[in-house]
Amino acid sequence: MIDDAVLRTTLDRALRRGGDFADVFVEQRRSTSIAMEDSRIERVQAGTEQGAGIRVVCGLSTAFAYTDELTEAGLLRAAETAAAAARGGADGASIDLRERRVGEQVVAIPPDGVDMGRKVELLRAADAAAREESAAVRQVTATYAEGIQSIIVANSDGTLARDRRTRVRAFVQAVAARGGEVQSGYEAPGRATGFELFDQPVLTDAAREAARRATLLLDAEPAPSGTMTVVIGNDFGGVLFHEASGHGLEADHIAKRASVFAGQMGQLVASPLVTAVDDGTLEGAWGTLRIDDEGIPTQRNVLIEEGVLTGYMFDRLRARQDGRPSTGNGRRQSYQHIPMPRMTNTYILPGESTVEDLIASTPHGLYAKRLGSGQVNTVTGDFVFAVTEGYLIENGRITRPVRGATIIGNGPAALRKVDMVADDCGLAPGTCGKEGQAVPVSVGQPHLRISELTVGGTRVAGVQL
Amino acid sequence: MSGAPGLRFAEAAGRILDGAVSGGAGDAEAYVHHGAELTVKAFGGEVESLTSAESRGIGLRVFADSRMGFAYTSDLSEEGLRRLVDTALAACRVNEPDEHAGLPDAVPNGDLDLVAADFDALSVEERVAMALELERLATTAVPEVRRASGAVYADERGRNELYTTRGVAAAFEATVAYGYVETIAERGEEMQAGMSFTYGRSASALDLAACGREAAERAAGLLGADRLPSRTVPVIFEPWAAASLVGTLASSISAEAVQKGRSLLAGRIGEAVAASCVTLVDDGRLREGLASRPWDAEGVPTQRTEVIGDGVLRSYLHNSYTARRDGTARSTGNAARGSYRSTPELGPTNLVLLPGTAGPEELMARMGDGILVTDVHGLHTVNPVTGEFSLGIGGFAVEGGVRGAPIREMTVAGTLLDLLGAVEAVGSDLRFTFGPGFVGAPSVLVRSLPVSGA
Repeated sequence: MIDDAVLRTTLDRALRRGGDFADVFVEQRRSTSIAMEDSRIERVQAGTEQGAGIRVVCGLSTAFAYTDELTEAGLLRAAETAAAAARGGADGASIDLRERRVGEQVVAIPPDGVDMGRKVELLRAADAAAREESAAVRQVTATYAEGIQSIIVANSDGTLARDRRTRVRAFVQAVAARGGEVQSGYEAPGRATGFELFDQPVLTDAAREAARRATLLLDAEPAPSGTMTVVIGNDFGGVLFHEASGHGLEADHIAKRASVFAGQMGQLVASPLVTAVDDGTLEGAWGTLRIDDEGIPTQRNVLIEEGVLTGYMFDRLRARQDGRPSTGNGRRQSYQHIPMPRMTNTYILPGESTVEDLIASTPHGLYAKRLGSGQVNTVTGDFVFAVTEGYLIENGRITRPVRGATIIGNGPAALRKVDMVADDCGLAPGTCGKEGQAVPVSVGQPHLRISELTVGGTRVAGVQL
Repeated sequence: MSGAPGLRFAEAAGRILDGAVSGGAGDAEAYVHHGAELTVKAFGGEVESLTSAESRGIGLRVFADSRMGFAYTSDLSEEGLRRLVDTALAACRVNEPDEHAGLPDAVPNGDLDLVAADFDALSVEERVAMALELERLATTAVPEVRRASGAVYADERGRNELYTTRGVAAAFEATVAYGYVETIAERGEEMQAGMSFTYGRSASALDLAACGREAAERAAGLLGADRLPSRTVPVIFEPWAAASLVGTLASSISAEAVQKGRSLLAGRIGEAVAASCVTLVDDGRLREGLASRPWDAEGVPTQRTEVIGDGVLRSYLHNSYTARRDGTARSTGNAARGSYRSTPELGPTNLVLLPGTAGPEELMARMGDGILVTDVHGLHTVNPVTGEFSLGIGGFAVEGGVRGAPIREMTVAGTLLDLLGAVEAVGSDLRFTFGPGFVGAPSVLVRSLPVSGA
């Protein structure tokens, strides 16, 4: 996309008025999405975004400029802007770039080489599968999306690294109706792989699952409310840890003492049953990167080991502030954004119980089989999540489905109350937002039980709304 | 951003429209966005980051044989533009025919004054100082708040241009500036967060002192917050919380959702869907509304649309596609694009729950005992089809009409239609926040809602 010589000149120019560190992030992203609704193609969108972001760091202060013009002139102009905004620091010396070679992502079938008609066929099959699953299904929305992001990172430490990241994903929503009742189910499988993901029937499986859930909810009763024992499902259930604890373990929140986990290193912050990692190296997982957006190889970082806080997630800036190496968690939404410490694939490791144990030993509670997305206040750790598939647990058995439940609590408090962890860990893809920047991540966990959590349902103390 | 880029885009647009037509398109439309932004983040009395950049891109829609194709690019090189046309035409061939697809008949006319005359008056240094000043004000207003997790000053000048094969060549500019701060209140081990923001069309319109003080007071007010027992009580939603809830109605008042059977307000035109004190308008021409624009994302002039009047559902929001599909409706100028990277969809502009006459204290006195909600969490969990919600809330207990102890880790549940029907009064204290578009609401008193806690 850009010559090494131009990158070198750009870095020199960026540090012209001083600065401790500078980097250039060059990006080209080609995306395609096809949406089907009511068995018709609703929308086809495809395009290219490209540009470069240039950063000059002085101490903890960052000056940043970006350009959409991937030309020497465009890059130099952005470098000038960043240099002009930079404040203080040492004079820049001439930079010698050395390419850091990392392995390439394994992509068997590049999705941009696959005929659009084949992608449309996938959507048709999903649409049909959802309708076949349940006669109550009234509407199906299915979307196929692919993205190929090519990046170059060059910095004033001499690092030069390239990566190409291919991701494919699909979204299915099924709406079921019966009488006056309308409910929906949603599934969104995705992998950092090529089109070979669809060699397996992942999309039709997802469509059936979405249809099953929508139909199930038609018969669900309003969720109870109050404090109770909650069993959280595996895979996407990990969103609870991601939101309620993961963000608080990002080094920028720690450095600003805006996290409940600040100053807790080496302390018991969770039940001893909880071991949690962030691992950017898992082949094919949605949040996987060979190098992060600062050119640093990703790694497996243990965040909490048997309940004890063992690690935060760092980008370059926060690592340097702390006098330690980056953990490979410097990520950015695009060339238009400044990198921050972000999660990759974050999950709780499996325990020794079985799912059956968890349920059987719960006399009364809520089985939150599937969570929706949530929201957290990183300062206090308070969170709220929707339960998109939930059941009552009565006398150690899963009984009736319930709808409209939310769970609300405090991250560290909930982690301490984890009293059983099952052996069935799995990962699920998601999109993580932080300060307006969205990046792909995986969340994950085995089934686990929290002894006490507040459930907000529509049924309160005998009153039904 | 002078006239020069416009000229350049006009030329690029002309080239791709020609390319689309010679590639077989009957109609084509090029939408250009060009923006220049400055964002300053302050932390601990220092500049944490300063971003300064210009960006631009083109989205192209082509229509052929009742099919629509779309593509976008930020690569304005000759090869990039050629690829743009090819991609849009290829998408058009895959798409299915739709008799309602096409460009609108209405064309841009008139302008709105959305550019502050003094937008460029402050130097970069002066604007950097505003972020630092906002942080200082927020951390010196009340004793419990000595630090912020971030203070931001940002501004942007944006220019939208629209070109079609039917001869449309129109442009408008808008400027916006805002300040945002999140504070941390501390007492012993306990921490609470609070935020506020201030906005306008230029830096001079911002009230940093009020913003800083409010963010500090919101954080400090929550210290000592606890859960209350579950019960069903009257609830007042403060303006921002009320506006957030109003924002969740956006999908239900969209004609697209109605036509696709996804709206809880489908088939209800002319019926009472809310208490009679509820009037909801969408106004794309409101001078102070940050979502204002002279014409929408496909060039249709914007307007003021009464969606709910005195509790009665009067109209849905339309773009030209939903209006054609409806058969009798006209576009209300509500075509919206997230950016040049997306096709025109349907969304509100400035969506406003019109205020009443009662002050917030008067509403509290009228409520007597209940809960005052200042923050709602988990809005994305509101079910747009059924209107069911169960939201996390922060706020205060109210006893005898007086604000009491703060609450946390509680939820409020119900359905949007029940909520609309149970509105007893709306306050006079209209405030706006960012939502889908820009959303405004005053304090809202609701007769009773189930609140869960301990």
